[in-house]
This record gives sequence, C-alpha cells and structure tokens, in this order.
Amino acid sequence: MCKRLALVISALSGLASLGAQADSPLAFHVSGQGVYTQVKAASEKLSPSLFQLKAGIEFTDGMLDGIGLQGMVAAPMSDDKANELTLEIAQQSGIYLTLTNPDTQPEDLKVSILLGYASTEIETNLPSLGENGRNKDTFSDFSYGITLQDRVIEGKPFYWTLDYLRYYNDDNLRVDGLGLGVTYAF
Amino acid sequence: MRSKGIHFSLALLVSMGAFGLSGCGGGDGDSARVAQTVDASKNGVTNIALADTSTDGYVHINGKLQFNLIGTDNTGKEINLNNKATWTLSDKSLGSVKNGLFTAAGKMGTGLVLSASYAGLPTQTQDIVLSDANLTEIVVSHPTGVVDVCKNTTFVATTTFSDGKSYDYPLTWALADSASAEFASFADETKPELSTKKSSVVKVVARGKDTADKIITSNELPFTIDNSLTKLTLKSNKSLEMRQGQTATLTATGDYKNSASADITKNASLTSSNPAALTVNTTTGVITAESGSFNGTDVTVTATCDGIPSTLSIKVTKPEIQKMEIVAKDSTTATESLSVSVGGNVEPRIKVTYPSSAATDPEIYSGTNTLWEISNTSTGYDSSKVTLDSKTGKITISSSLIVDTSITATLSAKLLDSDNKVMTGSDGTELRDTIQLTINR
Repeated sequence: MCKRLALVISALSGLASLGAQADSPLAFHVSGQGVYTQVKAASEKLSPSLFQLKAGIEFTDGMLDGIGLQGMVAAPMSDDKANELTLEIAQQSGIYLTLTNPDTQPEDLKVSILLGYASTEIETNLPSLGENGRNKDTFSDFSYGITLQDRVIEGKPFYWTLDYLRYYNDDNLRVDGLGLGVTYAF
Repeated sequence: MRSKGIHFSLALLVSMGAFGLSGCGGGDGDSARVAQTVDASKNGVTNIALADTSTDGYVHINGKLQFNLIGTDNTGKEINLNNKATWTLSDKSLGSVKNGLFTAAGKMGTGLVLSASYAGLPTQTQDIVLSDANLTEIVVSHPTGVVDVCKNTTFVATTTFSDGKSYDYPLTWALADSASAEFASFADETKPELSTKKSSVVKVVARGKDTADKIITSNELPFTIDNSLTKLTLKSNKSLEMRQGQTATLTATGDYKNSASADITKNASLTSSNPAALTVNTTTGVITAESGSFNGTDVTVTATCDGIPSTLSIKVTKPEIQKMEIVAKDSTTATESLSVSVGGNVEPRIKVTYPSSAATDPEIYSGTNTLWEISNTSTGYDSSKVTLDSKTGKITISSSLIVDTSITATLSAKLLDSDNKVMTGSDGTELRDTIQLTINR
C-alpha cells in the first residue's frame, strides 16, 4: 500500500509541478508549527518536541479539486527523559496526500485527511549501558492523520493549524504527534 | 499577482520530498532495540548472559529446549528477559525460536547458532547441536508420589536415547488402566499435568515413538491421590438472583486436612438442576441464565469432588422490563380504552417490553404480583355492582347495575416488586399504565 501511495504522490507531484508552470488552479501554503510528540515503547511514553516546516499545494478546481500534496521536515526542539533514558527525535520528514472537501469555503473550518509516508530518526541514550546504550535509528512507514485549519483574521491569509498524525507504528514502537502552528497561504 | 517562480519552487519542494524519503517499510531502525532500551532504563539491567543449559545445547530434532537470557543490574539482581529479548537463529530451516523456546524442525543440520540480543548490549550466542538419536527408554517420576485429591500435579519424564543422552522429546501421558479415568485424567495428553477428582491409587505412564514408530512405554508409576478434602464451598461472584442472559462465575473452594484451602473449580464436577434455565461451563465455572420466569425459577447448582458436595441456589428471572402496557384479552396491541356491557366481563392483560439489549421479544406478563385499580368513576358508577380482581384485572359487571347511556372510569395496572412497591423499568420510569374503561348498557 505504501509503495502505491508513493507512486500516487509522485504522480501528483509531477502534475503539480507542471500545473505550477502552466498557471493552473492551485493553492499554495507554508506552515511552521511546534509538535508535541508521543513515543511509546515498552509501556513508557516519552514526549520530545519538534519544530516542523511544511509546504503544500492543493488543486482548487477540476477533477482533482480538494486534493493536495504536503511536504514536511522537522528539527528537534527538546528531548525527553525517563528513568535516566534520554530520547530525542533527531530529524523527521514526510510527504502526504491531503484530501479536503472541495466545497470548503475560505471562511470555513478546513478539515483535511493526510495519508503519506514519514521518516523519523530517533536517538536514544541510556548512560548505564555505556556506548551500547547510545543508538540512532530511522523508522519509516505509512503515516496518516488529520489537520484542522481556520483563518486567524478575516481577510488575511494566515491560518491556525492543528494537526494530529501517526508517524510510525509497529509491535514495539509508536510515534504520534500533535502540532499547533500558523499557515500562510499564497 | 502571485509569483509563478515561488509556486513552482514549492511544488518542486514537495515533489523532491517524495523522492527524498527512503523506500517504504520501516527504514533501518530496530524498534525492538528501542523498546528494550526503554525497558532497560526501568529494570536497571546492565549486563546479559545466556543461562547455562544442562544439555550444553544438544537438542533432539523432534524436541524443544528452553533457553534463558538473564539480565543483571548493578546490584547483581537477576531478571529473566526471555520475552523481552530478540531471539534469532542462524538457520531458520532447522527450527524456530520464540521467547527463548527453541523448537527443532525435525531435520538434521549443523552449525546452528542461537542469538539473543537486548538493548544494544553485546549479543549472546549459543551453539545448538541437533541429534537424531533413537529413543530407548522413558522413566516417569514424581517429586512426592502423592497429591491432595481435587488438585493438579505435574510429573517428570526422563528419556534415554541411543547416544546415551537425555532430550526433551514429545511424549504422551496416560493412566495405565482405563478404569482409573474416574479418579483422574490428563486433560492434555501431551502435557504431564494430572487433574484429580477422586481419591485412589493410580498408575501413570508416558509414551513416545522411536525412529521406527515403535511405541516406547515408561514404567508404571504408582501414584496416590490422597483423600484429604474435608469441605467444599461453592460461591458466585455475582448476585444469586440472575436475570435471563446474565452470566456469573462460580468458584469451588476446597478445605483440606492440613488447614490449607485451594480453588478446585476445574477439578470439581458442576451440575445444574435445570439446564434449560441455567447452564454451567464445567471447565470455567461460568454460569449463564438461559431462560427465567417472572416470579423466578429456582435452580440448584451442585459441585462435587471426591464425593463431597456443595450446593448453591440461584433464582433465574426474566430480563429487566423496559415498559408495560394494558392490552385486551385477545390482543397484543396496546389499547387506550376497553368497554364492557352490563352483565358481562372483561379480562385485560399486561404486555411487557424488554430493552433491545435483552434480545427478548415482548410478551404477555404472567407474573402474579400486579395491582389493578379502578378510579375517576363517572356518575352512576356503583362499586358494589362492579367486581375487580386486583391481581388478574378481571372486571365483572353485575346485571343489576343501572346505566343510562354509559359509565366511564380509569383502569390502572401496576407491576409490584417483592416489597409490593411499584417496579421501575430499565429506563427509570415506574412500570404502570392506565386506560379508560367504559361500561355500556
């Protein structure tokens, strides 16, 4: 499923690039947001925080109306500690297909579903294990979530953005994030 | 005017993001190691080692062997990490390993290595030597040779193979003679756990097949099931009055001569005096109220072990009623009024409805604790000429009652509980209904 999604995203990316050159009906936005993450492993929850930068495009007319693409990169803001273990998300990136109701008006609360692929690099350090306790792993998989957007001031292209995403999940590890930030729409 | 260049750049950024990510499917991360590191931060483990096995890693190709990864913290305290560690085999075609339990695949091979890792600490390895030696002898033993009746106990089998070694090997367990089945049994014949239910002396054997499929039988071990049970007590974890559809769990507790007590539910024989009303799962002790009555159906559940019984009386009632309505004698549809002529009679009934969760169809109420009343009578009503059975609701009008055109009254019915208070339905309202009664000339 993930590979099919990557193909769809790549195809849409190509279309969007061509669309941008051809001045077709596309909306563009950039966002900056703080993300409170929750990394769950061995029944313990740790919450390092991130700063995410996002850029996105969305079709506003035609057959693909309401469908968009969003790219994301993130850098660490803070780590978290539990039982002498320090855990940090060293970096994160992702690409998402965004699905929004095409009938959503600019003054409406905009609700979008995000389906995509995210890569999260987790750095752990447990001093009691010496060098063996210092590790860096990258976890990449299907990622999904929901985002809400609402205009900050009427007539201005600034929006509050609140989103919740699952970045990674397997039997041993789960990485979720709750982000709050501001979006500027071109 | 928006900049076409910015737009193109953004689209390109998104496009490149798609290709910038590595292929799907977990990246290079070891999520088990992350979880183990978090676990190590909690249990304090700083070193790991595979515990010595008495077999030095020798395993029969049809057998199993439990390996143990032991972690130690800074104080030397040991922690078993079998279900936390990552276990791998150098050749998966020769067997499988889960939580340290190696199960051979039934074929010979060499160079097999078991690895156990935890939290990034140095991986521990153990060579596994597979053997296809032939089974020659089985000897059964028991630590004490006796067990309290109605308890379970575990036997030990020592195997001897053609190479002189002893392996964990698939065996079946049985009592030497079929007549002993009334005293005890092996619930799972592949496991050495004997379940006892009657005091006696039985003989236990274990059997295994050699490479020629010939059955090798062990010695017959005489084993005493001691008649030490003094008392049996049966209890329910819920009320002894159960509504239809409800379940509860019974526990049979045995008291023994040495003053100890034990849960012997699985060993006791559990029976219901009325399986149509209440069924008993003899393995789990779970009872289910299958079919009740409005006044309650009395059922006795009996637990017996080694001839000692214990009983429990349970009353099974209908599901909680949601609402009630008055209906005519030959109808099941609620009515707002009934009429009766002078010299005649009418026999209204009560229809009850249950919540959808009860999965029980509406029905005519057949309980006895109801109260019927007549009130708000119009001019001309003479109570001495009208007979109302307050229990059944039957109304009889004397032919001597004088009626000009008609007389009206209110007929009400209520369902009462055992304290003669109006019952409350599942939605919190009182179970009562009123209709108009018209007496015609």
